[in-house]
Amino acid sequence: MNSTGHFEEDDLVLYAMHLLAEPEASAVARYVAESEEARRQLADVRASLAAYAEATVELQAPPNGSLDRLMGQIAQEQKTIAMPVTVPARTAVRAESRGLPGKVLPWIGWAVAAGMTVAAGKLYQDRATLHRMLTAQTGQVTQLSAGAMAVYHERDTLKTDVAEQAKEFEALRMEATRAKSEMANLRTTAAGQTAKLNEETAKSGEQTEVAANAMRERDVLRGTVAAQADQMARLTTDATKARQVLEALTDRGALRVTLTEPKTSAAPTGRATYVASRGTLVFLASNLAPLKPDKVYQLWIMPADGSNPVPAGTFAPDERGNASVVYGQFPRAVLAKGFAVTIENDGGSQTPTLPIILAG
Amino acid sequence: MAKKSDALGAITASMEPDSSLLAMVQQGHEQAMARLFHRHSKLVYSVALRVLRDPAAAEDVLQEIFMQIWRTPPNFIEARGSLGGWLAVVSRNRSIDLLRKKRPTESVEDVPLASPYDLAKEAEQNLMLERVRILVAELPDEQRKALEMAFFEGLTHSEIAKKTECPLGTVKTRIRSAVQTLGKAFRP
Repeated sequence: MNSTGHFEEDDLVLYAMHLLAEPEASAVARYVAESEEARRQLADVRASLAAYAEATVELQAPPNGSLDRLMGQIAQEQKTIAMPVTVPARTAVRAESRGLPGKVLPWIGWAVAAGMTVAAGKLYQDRATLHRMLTAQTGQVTQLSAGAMAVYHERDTLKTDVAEQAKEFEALRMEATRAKSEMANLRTTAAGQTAKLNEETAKSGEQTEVAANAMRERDVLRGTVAAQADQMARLTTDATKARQVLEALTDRGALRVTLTEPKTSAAPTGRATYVASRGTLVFLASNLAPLKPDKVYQLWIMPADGSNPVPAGTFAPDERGNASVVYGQFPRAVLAKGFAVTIENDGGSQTPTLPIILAG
Repeated sequence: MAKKSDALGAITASMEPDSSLLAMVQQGHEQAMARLFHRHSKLVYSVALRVLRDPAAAEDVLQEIFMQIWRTPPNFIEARGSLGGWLAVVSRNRSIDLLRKKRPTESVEDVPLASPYDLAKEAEQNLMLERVRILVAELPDEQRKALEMAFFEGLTHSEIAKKTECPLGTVKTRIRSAVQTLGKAFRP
């Protein structure tokens, strides 16, 4: 529809092709109903479209049996044709005779004969028509009978099918009942197994806790045993050293020498106890003069074979001038003829530095 | 002799105008219906098949249209167009309704056509159809395509506009112009 309220031919063409949507389609339909010009235009459009369809479509024959199907359907929908009402000729004759008795009477016989002939012809036509209708209806009855037989047959077939389906349904119902029962049993079993599993899981948890505690205790004990083993080793070492010292001090064959400052009779003294076969050396000193922080006293073993003095350890006196050097097992088995003490730089020396502080 | 009589009958039957056959159908003559079917079923079926692309559905349309003719034969006036063309339009419209799953919106009586030609004469009809074919071939591509999509595919102008990416007004004009051009086939 354009702005002036009139329909354009575009819309009429679309309407003719059923392509207009509502409400435009209804509006165009009203317009066509009211306007003769619109109806003419619509007829023109349809004629063009019809020609277009006829001219462009590729013709193809309908499927086989299409006509038979149509005729079969038509046979089932027989038309009832209205019969024309025949007017008896005698009535007309009587009407005429009332008006002009004298002139018409001589023709009555002929008129009756003609009327009879017409009536007979009409009756013959009616009979023929009735005969056709009877034939058609007989055909229809035959078809209906055949149809009824087919329906009866179909009904029997359906009855059989229904009975079979009922049997199948019953079998399925029983199977479903059995399946339900089995499922209930399975559910009960599964519930029992689940409860048992939960219980075992709880127990397992407790056992796991106990095992963890045991492992922790074991680790603690291991640590304790290791510490005790270390302590034992230390005590054993200490006991060994103590025993060696004791044996050195009590050994009758031990060389015992008292060392003094060579040029003075002052107080510094040293006493060395040495068992060469065991390598045990105990040196005790007293009245030693204090040293500078970077100096230490160093004990020397004077080998019996006259070779160079062997360093036997460094030491620093305490505030009272006392000091000691103890070797449980001297590294080198050296036979000694004497001992000496010198002052060396901190860390000791490989050769003695003069002067000799103590000797003996 | 019998053969001659049959041949004569066949010729007479083939020359019987559609209007006479429709009048006989009105009187319940099944053979007249069979003759109409022989004469027009190909066109009706082919149009439905072109639109629906489904032989079974096209045959349903064919049966439905001929049964409607049997039940209520239309008062067909030959001077206004050929019965064949008229049935082709009915077949196309029924098929489009079926395609769009719509209820049929018209009966066979509601489709008047117009033609100044005496289309009952086969020669004149053939001449007219040939002219239509030439006009269709001479249509601009876009007009021919738009008409084909609207008529045989049942696409609305909006759907065609979307498919061809053209303005709505352009599509409507193309369809109308194509139909107007085809109308020239009826003008002397």
